[in-house]
Amino acid sequence: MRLIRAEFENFRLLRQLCLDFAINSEQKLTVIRAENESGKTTILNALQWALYGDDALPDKGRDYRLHPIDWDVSEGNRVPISVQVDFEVTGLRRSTKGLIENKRQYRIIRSTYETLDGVKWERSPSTIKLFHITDTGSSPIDPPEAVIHEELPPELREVFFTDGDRALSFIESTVSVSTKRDRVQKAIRSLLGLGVIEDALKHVKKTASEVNKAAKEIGANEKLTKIATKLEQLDAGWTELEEKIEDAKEQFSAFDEKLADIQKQIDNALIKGDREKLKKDIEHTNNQIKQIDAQLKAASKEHSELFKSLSLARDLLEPVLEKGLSELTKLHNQGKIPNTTIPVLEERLNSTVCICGESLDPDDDEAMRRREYIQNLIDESRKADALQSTITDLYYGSRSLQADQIPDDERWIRLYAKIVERRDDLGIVREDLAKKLKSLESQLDEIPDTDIQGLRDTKKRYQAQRDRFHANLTQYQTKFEVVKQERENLVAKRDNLLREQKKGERILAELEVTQDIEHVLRNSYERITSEELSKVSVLMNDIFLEMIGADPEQGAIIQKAEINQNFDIVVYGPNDRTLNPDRDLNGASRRALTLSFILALTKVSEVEAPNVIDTPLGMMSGFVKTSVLKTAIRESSQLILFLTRSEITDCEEILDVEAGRVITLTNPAHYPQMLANDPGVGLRTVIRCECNHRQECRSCQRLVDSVAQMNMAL
Amino acid sequence: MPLNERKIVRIILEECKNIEERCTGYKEELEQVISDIIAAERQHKVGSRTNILQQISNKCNATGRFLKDQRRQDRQV
Repeated sequence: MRLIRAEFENFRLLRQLCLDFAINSEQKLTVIRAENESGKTTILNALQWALYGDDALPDKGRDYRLHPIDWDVSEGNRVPISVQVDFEVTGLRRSTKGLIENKRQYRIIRSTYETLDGVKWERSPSTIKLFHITDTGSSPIDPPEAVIHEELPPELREVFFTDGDRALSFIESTVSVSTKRDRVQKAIRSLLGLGVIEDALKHVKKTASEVNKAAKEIGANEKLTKIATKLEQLDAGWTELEEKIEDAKEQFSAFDEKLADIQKQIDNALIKGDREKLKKDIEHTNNQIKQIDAQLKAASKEHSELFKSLSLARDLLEPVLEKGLSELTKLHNQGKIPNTTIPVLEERLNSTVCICGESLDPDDDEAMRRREYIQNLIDESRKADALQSTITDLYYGSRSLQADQIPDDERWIRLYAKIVERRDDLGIVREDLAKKLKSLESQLDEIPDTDIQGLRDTKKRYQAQRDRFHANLTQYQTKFEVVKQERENLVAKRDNLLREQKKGERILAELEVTQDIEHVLRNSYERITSEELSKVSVLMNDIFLEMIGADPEQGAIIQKAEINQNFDIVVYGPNDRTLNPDRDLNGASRRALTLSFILALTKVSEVEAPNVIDTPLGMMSGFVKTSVLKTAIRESSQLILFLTRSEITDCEEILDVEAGRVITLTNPAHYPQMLANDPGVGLRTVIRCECNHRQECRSCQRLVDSVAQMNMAL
Repeated sequence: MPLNERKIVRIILEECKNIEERCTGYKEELEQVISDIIAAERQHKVGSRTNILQQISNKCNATGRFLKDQRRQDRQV
C-alpha cells in the first residue's frame, strides 16, 4: 500500500490542507518540513484517524478535540471535520503465467461533526466511505474496513505510523515485559501472517474431523468404524490439549515475569538497606550509648568527689603543713619519737650492770646514785609521755601528708587531669555513637516500607506456581506426543482399510488432501516462526548497528540487538551482557533501535506499506542522524518523514537526492517571535508552501536563531 | 493481494513442492486450494460474512474428488 495524497478539513490546525506524497520507487521519500507546533503530530493523528477511527487518537479520542480551537461560532456551532486519504494497493493474482501484479486506487473519507456549546463540545460518531478509483470514475466499497484492515491491520498501526517521541513502545521500560512482548509478537505475527495460517490449520483440522465422521458412516467395516470413532475422540481431545498447552505456557510466562519483577523489588530494597538489620544495628547502638552514659555519670561523680578529697586538701595545705611536718621529722630523726626509753631504763634497773658497763648494784653507793639517776629519767619520761604520745601519733599520722611520701600520680592535679581526660574520651565516643545512630535512623527512613521477608515469601509462592505450570506443561506436552503418535498409527490403519473398500476411495482422497494441506500449513508456519523471525532479528541488528555506527569488532559498547524466541527485543554489550534500553542506551540509540525493528519487520515480511514517522531524527546529530536517515530510506518502500529544520541540518545533500517531494508547513502564530514576515492570516491554521528543504519564501521565512531568542527575551 | 500474502504464498508454494505427487497434477491443484484457503481466511478475518468452515470443506472436497478421479485415470493409463 502507498499513500498518494491526503486532504484535511477543520482537523485542529489543519483547516484546509492538502498533501501529496512521493510514490516514485526511485525517490520514495516525502519530507514535510515543519517546526514545532506546526501540525506534524496533528497530521500523523489525522491520517490514523482517517484509517482507524477514534481508537487511533490520543486516549482513544476521549477529550481530544478535533475542531479548530478558534472556530468562529458565527459560522455555525456544528463544525464539519473530515480527512480524505487516497492510496494505492498492489494485488497479486495467480495465472498460468505465474503471479501477476495489479494496482488499485482507493479513496477513503472519514467525517464527523463536533457541536460546540460554549467551552464544551460533543463529537458525533464518525462515518467512513471507501471508493475504488478508476480511470472512468469511482465506485463505493462496502465494508470499507475490510480493505483497510486487510492492507493495514490495526495491530500494525504503530509499525506504520510512528511518533518519534513515542517511538519506544516496543522497548520502553515503563510498561511490563509481557506488554512489550505482546506488542512485538502481535506486530510480527500480523506482518508475517501467522494468525492467518493458524486459523487455516484449525479449520482444515475441523474439516478432516468431518471427513473422518463420514468414514465412520460407510458402514461395511466394523473395524473401520471403530478406528474412525477413536480418531474422532482423539481429535476432540487434541484441540483441548493444545489449548491446555497454550494456557500452561502463558501462565508459566506470566509467573516467570512476576518472579523477575519481585526479585527486582527485593534487590532494590536490599540496595537501599535491609530494614531488619538496620533495626538491630540501631538497637545495638542505643545500648552502647546507654553504657557510655553510665560511664559518663560515674566519671562525673568521681570528678565531683575529687573536690571533696583528701588529696585536694593535702595539696592545697602543703605549704602550710611543710614546717610542722619537718619539725616532726626532726624529732623522729633525733630519736625523740617514738619514745622507747622507759622500757629500756626499767630493764636496766632490773639488772645490776648498766649498758655502759657501770655497776648498778643497789649495795654500792655510786651504783645507787646511778640507779636514782635512771629512776629520775624514768619519772621524767613518764611526765613527758602523754605529749610524746600525741606527737608520735601526729608524726605517724601525718606521714601520708608528707609530700615526698606521695607518688606523683596520686597528687590531686594528676588525678584531676585523669578524670577530665576520661570524661573527654567518653564524650567523644558518645558523640560518635550519636552520629552513628542518626545515620542509621536516616537510612531506615529512606528505606521504603518494604517488607523484604514478605516479598521473599511471595517469591516462594510464585516459584511454586511457576514450577507447577511448568510441570503441567511438560505433562501436557508428553500426552500430546502420545496422542499424536497414536493418531498417526490409527490414521495409517484407517487409510489402509479405506483403500480396501471401494466406497472409501473418495473419503480416503479427501482425507489425504486435508492431511497434505495440514502438512504444508504446519511446515510453512514453523518455517515462518523460526526462519523468518530469525531474519527479522538479524536484519534488525544489521540496520541498528549501521544506524548508530557501532562496530563490535572495534570494541563498541553495543555489540548486538536481537529478538529472542520470547519476542523480547534484547540489546547486548561486551561479553554478552544485556543492556537495559532505558538506562544503557541514549535517546538516539533507543529511537534507532525501534526504527530498526520496524524497518526490518516490514522488509522481511515483504510488505509494501508506508512508514510515516514524526520527528524521527530528534535527539540525533552528526553521523547517527545521517546514517538513520539513509538506512530508513533504503529499507522502506514508502517513507514519509516530518522533520524540523534542525533535523534537516546536515542532511540536505541526502534529501537533494532521495526526496521525491518536500513540502513546508508554517504556523502563522509564530509571527513575530519566530517568523520574519507577517503571513497575513488571522486564523489559527497551518499554511503550506512549496519550498523545499533549501528554500524559503515570504510565508515560511524564519528569523535566525539569535534574533528569535532576542525577541523572546524582550 | 494484501500485505504479506505474497510472502506466505511463496513459502506455501515452496512447501507444496515437497508433497507426494499422488496423481498427475496433484501438486498444482494443492497449491491452488491452499492459496484459496489463505485468501478465504483473510476475507473472514476482516469481517467478511462467510461461513469459512463450509468454504474450506468445499474446497477440500473438490480437491478430494479431483484426486480420486485423476487416480483412476492414471491407473487406466
